[in-house]
Amino acid sequence: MRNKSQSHKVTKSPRELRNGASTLHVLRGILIIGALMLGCTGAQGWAQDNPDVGVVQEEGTAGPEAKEMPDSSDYVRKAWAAQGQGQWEKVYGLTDACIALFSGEADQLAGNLSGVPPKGEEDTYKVMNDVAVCYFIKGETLRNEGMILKNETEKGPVQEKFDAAVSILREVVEKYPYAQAFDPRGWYWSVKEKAQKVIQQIVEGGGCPIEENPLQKDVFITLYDEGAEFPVDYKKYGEFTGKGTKEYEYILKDPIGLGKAVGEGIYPNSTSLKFDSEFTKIKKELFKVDHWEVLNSRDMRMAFYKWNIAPEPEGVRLFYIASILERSGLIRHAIKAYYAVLVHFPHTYGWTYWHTPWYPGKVALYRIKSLLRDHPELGVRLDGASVEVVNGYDNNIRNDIFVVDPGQLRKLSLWEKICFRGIEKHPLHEVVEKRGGDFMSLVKYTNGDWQLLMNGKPFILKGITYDPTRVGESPDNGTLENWTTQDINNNGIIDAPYESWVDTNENNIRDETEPITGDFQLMKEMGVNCIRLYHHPRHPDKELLRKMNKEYGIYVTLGDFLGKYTIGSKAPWAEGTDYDNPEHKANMMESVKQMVNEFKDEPYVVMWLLGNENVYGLGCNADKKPESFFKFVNEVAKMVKTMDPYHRPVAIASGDILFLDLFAKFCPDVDVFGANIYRGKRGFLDFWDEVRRHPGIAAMVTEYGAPSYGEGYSHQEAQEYQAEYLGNAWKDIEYNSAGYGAGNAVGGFVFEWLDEWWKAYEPFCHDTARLSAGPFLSGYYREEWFGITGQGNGEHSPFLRQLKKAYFTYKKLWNAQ
Amino acid sequence: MKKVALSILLCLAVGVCAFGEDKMFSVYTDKNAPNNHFIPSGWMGDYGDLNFNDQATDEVASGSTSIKIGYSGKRSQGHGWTGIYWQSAANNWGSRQTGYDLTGFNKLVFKAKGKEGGEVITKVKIGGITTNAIGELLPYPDSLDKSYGPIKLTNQWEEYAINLTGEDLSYVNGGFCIVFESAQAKKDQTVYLDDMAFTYDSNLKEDVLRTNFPFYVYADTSSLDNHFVPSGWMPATAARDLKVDIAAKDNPLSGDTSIRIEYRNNSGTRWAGIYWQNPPNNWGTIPGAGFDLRGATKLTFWARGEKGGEVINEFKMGGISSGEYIDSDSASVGPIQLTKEWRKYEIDLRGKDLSYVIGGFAWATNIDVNDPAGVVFYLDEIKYEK
Repeated sequence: MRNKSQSHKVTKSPRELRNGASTLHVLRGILIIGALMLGCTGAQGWAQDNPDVGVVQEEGTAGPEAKEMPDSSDYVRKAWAAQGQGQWEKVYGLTDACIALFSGEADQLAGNLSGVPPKGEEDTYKVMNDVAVCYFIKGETLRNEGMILKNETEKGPVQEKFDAAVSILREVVEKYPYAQAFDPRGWYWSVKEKAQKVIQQIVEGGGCPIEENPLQKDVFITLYDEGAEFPVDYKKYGEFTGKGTKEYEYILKDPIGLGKAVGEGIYPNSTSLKFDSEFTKIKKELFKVDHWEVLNSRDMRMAFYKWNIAPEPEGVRLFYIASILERSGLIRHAIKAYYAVLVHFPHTYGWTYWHTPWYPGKVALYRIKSLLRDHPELGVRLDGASVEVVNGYDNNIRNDIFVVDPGQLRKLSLWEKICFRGIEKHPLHEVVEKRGGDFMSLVKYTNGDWQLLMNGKPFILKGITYDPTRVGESPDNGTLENWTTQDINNNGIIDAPYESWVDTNENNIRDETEPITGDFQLMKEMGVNCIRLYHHPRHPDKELLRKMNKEYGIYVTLGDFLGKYTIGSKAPWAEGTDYDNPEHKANMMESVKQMVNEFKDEPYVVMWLLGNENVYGLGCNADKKPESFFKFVNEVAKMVKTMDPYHRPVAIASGDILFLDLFAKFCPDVDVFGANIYRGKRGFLDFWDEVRRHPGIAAMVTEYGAPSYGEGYSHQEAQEYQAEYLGNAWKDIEYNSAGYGAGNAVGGFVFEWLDEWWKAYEPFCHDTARLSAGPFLSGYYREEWFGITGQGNGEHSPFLRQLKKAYFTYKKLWNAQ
Repeated sequence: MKKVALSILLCLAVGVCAFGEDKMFSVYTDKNAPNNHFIPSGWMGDYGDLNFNDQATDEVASGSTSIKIGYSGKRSQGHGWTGIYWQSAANNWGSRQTGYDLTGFNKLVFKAKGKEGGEVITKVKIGGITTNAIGELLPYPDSLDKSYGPIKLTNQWEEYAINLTGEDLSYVNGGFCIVFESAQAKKDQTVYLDDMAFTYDSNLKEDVLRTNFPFYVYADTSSLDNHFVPSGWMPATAARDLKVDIAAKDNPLSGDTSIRIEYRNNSGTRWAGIYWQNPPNNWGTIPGAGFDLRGATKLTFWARGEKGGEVINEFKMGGISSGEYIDSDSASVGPIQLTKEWRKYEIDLRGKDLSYVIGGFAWATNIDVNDPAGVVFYLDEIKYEK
């Protein structure tokens, strides 16, 4: 998730990469491999990563006045930076210059447009977009200045500022209605729409726009042809060769016979659909529907039909057909379809939003495993299946080698049915290796499983990321406060931890029956035993954390960003942290030293955490120099161990399993592989197995979560979805803890405790905007809805809590043992 | 309408024998001949490429004049094809009721020759003015839509006949149409037409729909067996990334030419592909355009890479679905790593519904699986087989 910790640099152009860059985070249009997209459905979703945008030079480096500006984008960057730093005059200078220099060209470009340029062609209109953004920045800055003056001065000048803001914003709406601005987290926003919102706020005095979200109905799939077999005996219709090797292939000899066995919509059956009267009825209308748009809609029938004829590679198409079947509750048919991906198209790959590859064959395998675990009534098991993508941890797919064995999907024998409970436990035997100290340690057993111990007793991290940001605060405006010391009612009691109350009846009023409880108490009741914190840039109050630990039994995993967002390295933002730069490295070492020195005697620290998905880049070059990064991580881990008298474990917070092989090679002194993972509602899939394979150490999820918002869904339904997503995630952690599954899971951290309203843009409004696509309800990230508690209408922030369903799901799960 | 009524009356007057072999309804016999019934007013596509003279005297099949058409193939309007409709009234694109009831006639005959020989008429059509540009039915649509061709001409006059048995000739507005495509035509070709007329032939029987296999997508650049056109470049940015030569002379597998495709990621889009379509640029919006290829069991083609090792993610047939009239099925093979030498590949079509094929062949690939500098590869002998 977007981390507020970089607030000292943040401008209105947020430049943090979301943590959601999971390998399963599939975006429309970015499934580009051989994507046979046709005609009007062709160029879509090309939100190209443009790392340059939003990069702002440090204060003091050459500004526009010091050297010739190469292009319009520089003005935009610098104007955002100046706005973030509250340098109004500089903003006006830069934006006026930009408009004066480039509006001629911009006007010409605008004249060519009669609509928003198609995806992928944004670059052609760069100058127009930049000029429009300059207008916007100017307008917004005038508004901001007006807001500040409002508290300090007479009405006259305030109104002047507001009038000027409205006038300039109206100008941009009129002149450049199709301009778009790129948010480097990966999406474009319409300058016109945002300008209109700011105008509305000025005119109406700051109200938030009311977003319509009409409720839609589920339309389920009714299959015309379920197929003759379940599970399908593939040997009858073809020949498996090279199972378990890189030569694996299924040679189909009887496509007609197999078509009958698998049934409608599953490769190679493309004809049953034609006898489906529902399909025949709407076939001629289907071209009006965009297959990516309909993929996650509640009309699963439409999605199913559309994907049957979608112009995508067979493997990709089949994978999504399977996922639609799964959503529609046709689990047997979904398993068949996923298995067909594994048999026929295990080498297929797609691209995530961040242009990292993902492998549908592998995902299909783990979804089958998860579905079979959840549906023992099917009486089916998958034996011996595996997909290994050698060299699959980098961004280069040319070096990928697939070692595939589709195994066998088979019916359980009667005896197995009696004994099988879906989950199998295996014995741990003896401890063969120990890491850490007496207080916190990690032990490895004969069978290769890992377990975390606290004072010699098993301890699983039931963690949550805790950032109770008050509504209206934002690092974008430099208004973010330190929650560990925040006391807005000046009563000497820290607000969120001790003074929050649950708005049980959700009327946004504190009724008599709603006592002050405090988040620490609520978390304790829920079963939280650890929160994830970073020691910078805002300094956590040690006394508060001691009390939290003593009174509520909650511990802390304490982290250092290790140069992410340039935090700790003191690198200029434009340059970013360079893991080969001795000065940056020395600064980061110093930062970590400071953390360990300061907190080493704190009894609540259970683990040291290094970085936060640095491998995706953004203010650092770990994405470009992963080897240098991991070598440095190891140096730091070694140093921490020499400094910590209690020898607590050291973990990394990486980004999914990107460059996992390099981590395994260069980080022998890191004890736990942790990663932020957003992979959809069937848990973490191959994550545990991959970490067990390399580096073979303990594993944890440093962030996982889902928004409680979806287009066409009521809040109730969206909360149910979030609860299910998070529930499955925890079960997956348990299923892979010592004695089960991969046997290496030591816990995880839910992202996050409370909805934070600053994330999408306006910190006073609970934005529902679609940001980038994600593996969530209706298919999008809604940044401000990841909390398992909400803030109601925002009026009682930071005190009011509305507990979402996920809170209760976790309360049950975490208190069950 | 009067004319129609008159013709019918005449026919009735002379009885059934009126449709004897000597009866005819002329499109063109000679310039200003009183029995000409249609006007060459409907110019389409790259009309700037045409040089039209309907009173040529340098070459005549009969009478005193013929029609002489020069076609430069320069794509003046950027279409790559052009055509002329002989319409029942000047510029009647189906908005007025001026067509003829030609019920009873069962054959259209015409004579044609090329100036040098080797000139190609891509298509001759009868009827077919049925829908407007957005696919809506016109107020007065032709009752038939018959196509014939392509035809490779010789430098001698030859007679061609189009069987119209079983066709509905109750309303004919587009009496005759000639179409040229730049991809097929000779450079700066000149063709002559003469004596176009509807006739009756008592020996003709209705065409039984029967596809002869092999059915070619591509045989050779000038081959009249080619049935699809590589017009569907994907995605929108492909024009910057692809270079296609359908008449590549270097090392063809068979015949004179093969198809050379050069793919570079100039646009940054990272993927590209091409559909061979019928007719060009048909993404599923044109009714009645699909070939019935039932009976084929495989689509075979030959391919080679310039260096060897080039990866094509998918070779495919069918699957065009951006309109109301979409491919009846799809099938594919891939990814395929090409070799430096020609190699034959095949797409299994068993169990597929091939009743309506508009996307005869396609390939698509991605820069990420290939040399970042791009790839060059060749295709030849793309055909449907039994």
